[in-house]
Amino acid sequence: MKLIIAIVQDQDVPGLLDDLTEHEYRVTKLASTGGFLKAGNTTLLIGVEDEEVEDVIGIVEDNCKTREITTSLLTVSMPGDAYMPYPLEVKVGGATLFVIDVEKHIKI
Amino acid sequence: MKLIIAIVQDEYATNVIKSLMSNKYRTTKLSSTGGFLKSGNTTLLIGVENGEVDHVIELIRAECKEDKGLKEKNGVEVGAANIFVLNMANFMKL
Repeated sequence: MKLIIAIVQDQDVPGLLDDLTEHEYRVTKLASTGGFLKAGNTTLLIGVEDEEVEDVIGIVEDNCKTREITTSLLTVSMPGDAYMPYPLEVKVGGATLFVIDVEKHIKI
Repeated sequence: MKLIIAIVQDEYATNVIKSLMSNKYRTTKLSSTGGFLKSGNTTLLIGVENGEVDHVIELIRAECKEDKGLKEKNGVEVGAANIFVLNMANFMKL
């Protein structure tokens, strides 16, 4: 038994949830916040049998494409008087997955 | 050292937390959503010593026993709690 913790972008979640549910994987969704961009994202807890891990990773991959967005890091302590938003190419989307061994799984 | 992740129906969560607290088990409560029914539930993170795992599970089972007529949610048979016990590499209190 494995517990997959997937941290994905909010916009990818609806499609991913439907896809996972279609394949009868049970998912728990937690609201979370990213450290770097301070943007909201979603953490999913997916409990699966060992042999299903690859399949779930495939599903997550299909739904969470990495893509580029231009954003500007609004730093308050900008030197000098003129305030120039500094455009920044940042990669978003994608998913971070942790696969953890589960010792015991009990359903009540 | 083990981490118990218990995903509990909201209706049972308050009793479970009260019971864990009175038994001196510290727990962290996260509000979460079920993937299938998209209904709210509660995820509890409980760090315990190896020997205490069974006791905690019994406490949770005891709280989820009384049937609050919640076994059916829009026609789907719903369990009261879903518990994962994970091995903990390291645990620190700073």
